[in-house]
Amino acid sequence: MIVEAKGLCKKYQKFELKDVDIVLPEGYIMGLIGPNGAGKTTTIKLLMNIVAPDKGDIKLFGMRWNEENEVLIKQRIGYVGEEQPFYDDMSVKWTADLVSKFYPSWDNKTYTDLIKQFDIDENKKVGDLSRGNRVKFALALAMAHKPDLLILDEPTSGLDPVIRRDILKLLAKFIEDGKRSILFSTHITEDLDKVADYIVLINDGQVLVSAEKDDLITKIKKIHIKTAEFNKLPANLFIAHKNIGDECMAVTADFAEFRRMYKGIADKQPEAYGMDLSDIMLAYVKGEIY
Amino acid sequence: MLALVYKDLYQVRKSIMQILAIWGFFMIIAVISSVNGKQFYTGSFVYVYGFITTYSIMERILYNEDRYKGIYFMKILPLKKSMIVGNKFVTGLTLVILSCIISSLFSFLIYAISPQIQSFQDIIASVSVLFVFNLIYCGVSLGLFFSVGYAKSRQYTVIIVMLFAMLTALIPTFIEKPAVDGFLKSVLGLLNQPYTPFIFLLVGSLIYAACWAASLRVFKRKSYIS
Repeated sequence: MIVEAKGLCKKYQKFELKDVDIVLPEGYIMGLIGPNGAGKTTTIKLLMNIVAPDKGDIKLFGMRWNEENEVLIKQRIGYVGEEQPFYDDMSVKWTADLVSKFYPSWDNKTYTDLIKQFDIDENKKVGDLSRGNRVKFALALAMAHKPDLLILDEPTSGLDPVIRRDILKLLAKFIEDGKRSILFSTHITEDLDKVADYIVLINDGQVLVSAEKDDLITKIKKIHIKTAEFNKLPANLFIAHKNIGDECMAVTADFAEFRRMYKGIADKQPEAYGMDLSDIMLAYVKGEIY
Repeated sequence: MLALVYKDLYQVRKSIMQILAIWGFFMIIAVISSVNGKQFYTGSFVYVYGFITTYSIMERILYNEDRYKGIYFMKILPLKKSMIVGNKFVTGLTLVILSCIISSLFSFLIYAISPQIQSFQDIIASVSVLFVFNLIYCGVSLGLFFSVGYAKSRQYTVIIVMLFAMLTALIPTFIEKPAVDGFLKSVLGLLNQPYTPFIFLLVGSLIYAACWAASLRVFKRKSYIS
C-alpha cells in the first residue's frame, strides 16, 4: 500500500475530523470528495505531516512520519496544495532551481517539458502567473522529481474546463506505469467521474463512503417506486428518499440487495437510474435527490 | 542548508545593497572629515549602524517568510524540521558576522586615517559588544517568530528594542544620582576588563543556542505555522 491511514482524528475549535481511514494501493487514483469544509484539506495536511494528528496512524510507503523518515517520504511525494505557497517576488526559474536542490531524483528534462507544455514563461515572477498557470507550475514542480505518489488538494478549483481537462490528461498519463498513485481532493466531482478508481466521501469530518468508483456507481442508484412499496422495505436500504403523492423517488445504498427485496413485494422490475458522483454526494450529504 | 541560507539572503539582496550604500555614504563622510581633522565618526556608529543593519535585514527576511507562507512552503519540501529552524538561525548568524565584518572594516579604516579617535582595543571591544547584541537580538527575534508567529513576534521585538533604547538613554541620568552612581560605575569598570569581550561572546552564544533549541522544540510540537 502506498497510503495507509487509520483512525485519523484532529480537533480544532470549530471542526473535528473523526476516525478517518484512507487506504490507497499502487497504480490507482483516489478521489477525496465532499463539500467545502468537510475535512478534505485537513485529511491531506495530516497525510503530508503538515499538521500532526491528535490520534491515528499514518504510513506512507510503509513508513511512519518521524524526523528520519520525513525526508525519505517527502522525496517520494509530489504535492500540490489548495494554495501554492511560493515566494511571489521571485521568478519561476529561481523557484524551480531552489526546489530541485531538495530532490535527488529531480529530472530537469521532465520539468522543462512540462513547463513548455504548459506554456509558462520561466522568467516571469511567480506572483505574476495567472491562477491556472500557478497550478500548472506547482504541478510541474510536483511531477519533475518523478514521485511515486501525487497528493493534490483541490488543484482544479477555480480553473476553466480547458485547463482542467489538460491537468486530468496529465494525471491519467502519470499512473500509466501502474506503480504510481494519486490522491486527489476536489469538490468538482465531474473531474473524478473521468479519472478516479476509488472514492472517499467525507462530510462533517467523517468518512461516509469509501469504495471503488465503479462499485459505487453500480450499487447506488436512483429508483422510482410506489410510496406503499417503499414503506414495506427496510429504511437502511436507502440513503435518501422523496415522496411525490403516492410515488416515491429514492436512492439505494445497494441496488442488488434492493432488487432482491423488491421482487418479494412487487411483481415488476423497479424503474432505476444511474447516478453520477455529484448526485451521489448530494444524496449522502444533504439527503437530496435530483 | 546552504541553499536555504542563500535563498534567505538572495531574497533580501536589494535591502542589503541599500544598507551597504548607506554604509558607504557614511564611510566617505567619516573619511573626509577625519582627513580634515574633524571627528564626524565616533565609536557609537559601530553599535548603532551595525545593529540597524542586522535588525532591518532580519525583519525583512521574517516578513518575507510570513507574507509568502515560507514556512508552509518549506514544510512541503523534503526537509527535516530541524533543518527549517536551523536554516533561519544560520542565516541570523551569517547576518551578525557580516554586520561585524563591515563594522570592523569601517572602524579600522578610520583608525588608519585618524588613530586618535579610537584605540585598537576599543574597536575590538565595540565590535565584540555589537556581535553579542546582534546575536541576542537575532536569537530572541527568531525564537519569538517560531513561538508566536511573525505579527506578534514583531510587536514583542519592537517593545524589547525600545525598552533597551530607553534604558540606555536613561543611564546618564541615573549616573548623576549619587545612589546609583557607585553601582553603575563599578559595572562600567567591569566592562573595561580585558576578558569582558570574551565573556560577552560566551553569554551571547549561549543565549543564541538556547533560543535555537527552544525554537526547534516549539516548532516540533506546533502542528502548523503558516
